[in-house]
Amino acid sequence: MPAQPTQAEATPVQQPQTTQVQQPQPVGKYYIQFIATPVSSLNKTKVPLDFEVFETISLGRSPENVLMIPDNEISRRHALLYREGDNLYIEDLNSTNGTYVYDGKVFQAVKGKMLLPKNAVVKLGNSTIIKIVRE
Amino acid sequence: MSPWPQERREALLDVVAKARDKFSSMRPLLRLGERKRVVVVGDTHGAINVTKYVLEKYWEYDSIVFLGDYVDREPYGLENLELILPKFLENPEKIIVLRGNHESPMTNEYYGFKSEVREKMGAEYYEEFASMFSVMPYVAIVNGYFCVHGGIARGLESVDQVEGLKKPDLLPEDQIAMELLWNDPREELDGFIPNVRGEGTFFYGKDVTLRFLEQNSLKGIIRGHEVADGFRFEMDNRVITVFSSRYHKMRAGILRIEDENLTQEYLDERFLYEGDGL
Repeated sequence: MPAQPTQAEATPVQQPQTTQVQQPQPVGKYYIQFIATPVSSLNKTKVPLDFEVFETISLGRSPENVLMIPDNEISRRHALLYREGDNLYIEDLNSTNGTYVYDGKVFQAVKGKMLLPKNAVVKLGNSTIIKIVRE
Repeated sequence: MSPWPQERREALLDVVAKARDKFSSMRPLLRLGERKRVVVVGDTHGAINVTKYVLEKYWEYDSIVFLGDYVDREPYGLENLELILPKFLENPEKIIVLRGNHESPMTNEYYGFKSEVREKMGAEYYEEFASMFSVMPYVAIVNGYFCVHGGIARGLESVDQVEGLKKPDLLPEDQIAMELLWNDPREELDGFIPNVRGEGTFFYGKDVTLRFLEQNSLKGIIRGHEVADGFRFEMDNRVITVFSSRYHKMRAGILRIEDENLTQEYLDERFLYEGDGL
C-alpha cells in the first residue's frame, strides 16, 4: 500500500511553548580567526574558544594542544590563552620563534603573560597570524 | 633543463631588449580608460599552457591584462616570456604586462628563474631580464578597476603617486613600489599590519582599502600574488584575487570583464603540467 502522508507529517510540528527562563548568554564568547598560515586553506577559518570546557586553551604544533596549528615554525607547545575575571591573557611558553601581539604599530614580543586587547592580532612564530575576537 | 640553441637564445634576447625599451617609454601607471572586453590573468609562473590559451582565445578582446609573476616556481619562465613579450610588442595597447614581485632578483635568486636562465642560456644573460623587469609598469586602471600584482601600499593616497614612481627600480627599492608588488588584502583587519612575507610587506585591511577606492573613485582592486583555487573575493567583492598558475595543483582562474559583468573562468586539470614534454 503506498504510503500516505499522515496529518502529523503534513503539519509542521508545533514546538511546545517554552516556559523556562532563557539560558543567560555566557559572558564573552571568544573565537580565533586565522589571518595567515602556511596552509592557505585555513585562512578565514573561525574556531570558537570555549573557556567553559577548557579553562586554559593551549596553542601549538603537536596534537596534545586544545588548538593544533599546522606550522613547523610554531613550537610543539607554543602559548596559552586563559581568562582572569573579564580579561583575556596570552602566555608564551618559551617558544622558539616567539609570540607577538600587535600594538597598532608593531608586533610586540610576549614575555611571560600579556593582557590581550579587544580584537587582538597575534603572531605565533614567523608565519601564522590569528585574530582573537570577543563577540 | 638543456641549453637552448643559439638562434633561440638570440631571438629571445632580441625580444627582451625591445620589450625593455618599450616598457621604459611607458609610465608606471597605465590609464586604459573604458574597454568593452577585458580579460585579466593572475600569476602564471611558467604556466605556458594557460598563457597560450589566453593569448589565442582572447586576442580579439580589447585588452589582456597580465598581473605579473611570469617566472619562478615552474621551470618554464623563459618559455612564458617567449610567448608574452612578442605579443606585447605586436600590440602594446592591447597586451598589458604588469610587474610582479617575481620580476626581481630578490625572488629570482631563490625561486628558480636565475638558475633556469643559467641552464638554458648562460648565467651572464640574467642581467638582461632583471634590467627589463626593472622598468615594467606597476598598475593599470581599466573600467574603474585598479589592476596590480599585490595591492595598495602605505602612504598611497592617490593613484597619481604611482605615476611618479621612479624607473628603473631593480628590486624595487621604493617603498610604495615594493608594497604594490608584495602586499596582501585581509578583510578581517583594519589599517596596514606587518605581513608574514617579510620586512617591508604588509596586509591591507578593509577600512584603508575602501577609503582608497572611495578617494580615487575606483570600483575595486584586481590582483594576483596569493594562491587561490582560481579566485578569492573579499571586502564586499571590491578586492578580487585571480590566480592563473597550476603549480599549486588547484584550478587556474582567469577573470573576464565584459561591459559591467565580471565572469570567472576556470581552467581545469587539462591545464596541469605533464612534465618536460612541453
